[in-house]
Amino acid sequence: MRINFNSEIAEELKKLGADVYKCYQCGTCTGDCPVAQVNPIFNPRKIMLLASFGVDSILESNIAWLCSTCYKCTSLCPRDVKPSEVLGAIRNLSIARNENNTGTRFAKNFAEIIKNYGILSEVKLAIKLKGIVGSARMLPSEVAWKMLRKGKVSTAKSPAAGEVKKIFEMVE
Amino acid sequence: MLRYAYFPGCSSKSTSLEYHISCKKVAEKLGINLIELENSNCCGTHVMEDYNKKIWLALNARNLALAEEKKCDLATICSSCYLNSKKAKIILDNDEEKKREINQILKKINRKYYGNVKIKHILEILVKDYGIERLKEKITMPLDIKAVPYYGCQIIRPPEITNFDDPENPSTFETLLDALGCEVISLPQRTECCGAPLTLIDQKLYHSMLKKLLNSLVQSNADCIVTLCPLCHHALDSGQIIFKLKRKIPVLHITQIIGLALGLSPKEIALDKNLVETKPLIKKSTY
Repeated sequence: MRINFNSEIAEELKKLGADVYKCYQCGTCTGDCPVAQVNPIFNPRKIMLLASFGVDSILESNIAWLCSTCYKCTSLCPRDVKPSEVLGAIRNLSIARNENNTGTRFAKNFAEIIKNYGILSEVKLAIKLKGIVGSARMLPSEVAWKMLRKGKVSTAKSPAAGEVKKIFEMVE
Repeated sequence: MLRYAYFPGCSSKSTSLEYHISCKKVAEKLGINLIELENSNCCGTHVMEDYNKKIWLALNARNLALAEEKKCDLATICSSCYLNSKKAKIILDNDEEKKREINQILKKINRKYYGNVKIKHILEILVKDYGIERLKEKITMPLDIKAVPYYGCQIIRPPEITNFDDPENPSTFETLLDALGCEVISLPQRTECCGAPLTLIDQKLYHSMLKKLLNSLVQSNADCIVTLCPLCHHALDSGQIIFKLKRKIPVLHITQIIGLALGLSPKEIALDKNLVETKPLIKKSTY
């Protein structure tokens, strides 16, 4: 495997408010991470190290998007590195660099729904990402049917949509 | 009279319809005036923050500005809305330049964020603003049931932003359930993540996290689990059916369990909209 080192990554993360150089690799973040407990591939301590080395793969791969944003690491980190903020900054950077992975596609489609409708419709997002058949496979028919029958599926537009679209257009 | 600008959040129109319905009913019964922000927008969650920080900040500033227009604090029923609004407020209130920049954007849609508004979760409103003693006086049907409070993540963490309770060993929720008459089963897993934000990123991973959590919550022998966040609720409620758990226990929103204790009918608090059957619990709590 070829590894690309890019010292700009840590510097860019710093600009986004994440000082990864403060990390002394104690592993508290990983020890308490609910994602790492079920999938050891997600290792926040290692991601902090790779970020400080500036290894490009953390931007290209999906890894930073596997964080469930529970903020346990950030509340427990003895060095106040705020690993969840570092992970957020990595995701931010991967969007800015137009990386194409499950995570960036998810965020872009999420943003497009908010831009056009003002609020999120879970079902719309699922269909955009996985198609109708793929989305239908995500839930057992018993659950999907119950949700439909109880009126828990919505594709409504918010009255805020017009103003929200203007916000997007002004910034983008 | 307590007055709030009520920000129901996206899922109040869909997966957590019953949270929204029961919240309005409970507030009405307690004499809390919730002025609904019908034109509020999505808080964006961390996803919009990842996508574009400036848009995320402006979206939250817009909601805060709407509350300020109503001249009252913002009330939310969702932990993600709570965290994102609070985080945005901290950034805006501590960085004049950013605030100016965001207000320039808001000006184009005839809004302005001043910085007067506070953000409160419904649990906080009930326990701290309304008060436990006052709430106790309103209870007509003390609940003789065993309840597991589930905090989830974003109401207690990160503590420097939410500043809500002890992130390691919170107790606000227990205080409330105890006041309703419940036998409270306080588990260490009550602050573990359900994994729901990962649903569309890695469903397998989400399911392993949820299964692990549900197994420990369901083993508690409780009559119900009670939640504070629509996303957590949907995960815990649908998860029991997805994993075909032999023993299923109803998952109630905080406002549904309060509604029961206040003597509201199951229909009024939309207990028919929960996915796991709530009838056995209704029977037990209404004698």
